[in-house]
Amino acid sequence: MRPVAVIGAGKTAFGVFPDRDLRSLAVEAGQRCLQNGRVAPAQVESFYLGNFAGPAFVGQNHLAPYVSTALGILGVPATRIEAACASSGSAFFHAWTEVAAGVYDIVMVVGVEKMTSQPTARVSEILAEAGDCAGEMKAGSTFASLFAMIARRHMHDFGTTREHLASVAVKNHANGALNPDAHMRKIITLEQALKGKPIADPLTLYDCSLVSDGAAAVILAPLERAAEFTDQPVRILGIAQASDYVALDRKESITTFPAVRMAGEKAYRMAGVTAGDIQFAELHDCFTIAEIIAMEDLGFVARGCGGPYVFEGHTALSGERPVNTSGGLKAKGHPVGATGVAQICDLVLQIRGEAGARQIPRHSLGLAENLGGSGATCVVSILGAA
Amino acid sequence: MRAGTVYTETVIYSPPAAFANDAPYQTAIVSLEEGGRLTVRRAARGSAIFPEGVKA
Repeated sequence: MRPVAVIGAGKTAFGVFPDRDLRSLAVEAGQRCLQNGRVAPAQVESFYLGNFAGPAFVGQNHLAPYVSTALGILGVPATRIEAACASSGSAFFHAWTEVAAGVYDIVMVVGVEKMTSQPTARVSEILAEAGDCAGEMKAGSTFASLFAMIARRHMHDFGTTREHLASVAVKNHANGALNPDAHMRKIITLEQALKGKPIADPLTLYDCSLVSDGAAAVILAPLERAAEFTDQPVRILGIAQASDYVALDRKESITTFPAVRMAGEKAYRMAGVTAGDIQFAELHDCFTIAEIIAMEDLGFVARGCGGPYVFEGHTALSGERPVNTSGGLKAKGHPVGATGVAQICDLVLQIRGEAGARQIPRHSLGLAENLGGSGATCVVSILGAA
Repeated sequence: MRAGTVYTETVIYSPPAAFANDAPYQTAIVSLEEGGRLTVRRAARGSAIFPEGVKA
């Protein structure tokens, strides 16, 4: 396999954009990315689109060529990947396999979701299709309720508290306030987070990520060609995708995600690093408990110790290992199909030293973890300065 | 009728559209005595929730 680099990255702001459609968001991110990587549309040899539910959210299918042609990318393979909230992480993984295997040199990945044109109850229903519709969802579950049950069990098994969960939200809101592209740029206090409107016990509104519109894009190339396009290539040192049962009630334990552990272990091995080497991370905080469990499954802390670790400030911008410097899904926003690639864009910003007010001092080795559903898909990517 | 123990539970205040009139309602994952687990919903509004909460 050949070493692969990210040579260009670009995003839209995340938020509620009533005047924007799916394609215009994807095209904006794609054009910024092409400019950033100094790549012409005609140079792109293969195109991937990560998108979860365009057909349900906006009534449009066949989305990969729908977007690629609007970017002026004609004739090449254009492929949509769906893996719930890990759709564009998976698209990124598959783009990497093509470049690493030498099938193509210049491969573009766009992630997009346009969610806010539907009312909240309908959004919940569409998201629920990422779970087991004939089982857990038929019983009246929502994704919030699945993660609420995960949180409840984590509290029972390890003594994790409401304050631990809330401290994830407080941290990510503080980081999001420094991110000009974040959906929610508002600092919150621990008290506010604890007193939020109940969604599914023990989770309040502040434990839940946002329903957002947005898009993100990256372009990959063999490392040996990266200098043709950029002075600041970012190397993909390790990457892996893993899978598990879709239904939460099929898992032996719901306080750990085997797909995260497997993807993490493979990515560490490929990169030749250990969890202790990772300086910062973008973790999939679809709900606050998910960030806590991700830190445990990726070996940042021992199992059950994620709550106190975040509560004590170790993952804050000024901490020993900052997590979600972008604001995470909680504050940056969570346009589902865009999230995986957006995490990569955020690693690239930090590694290049372009993260502005939220730039951290140790930023040469970062990890992104993109989770689909209640853990049925996970993609872990480890990026570093080339 | 199948017997089991509550593995974890929650009370849902923000329901999907199909269950809009039922909220708040409780769902749980139950470990069945016969083996395996099942996600279930307490249908009756206002009925007592599993009194002992989570019990391993």
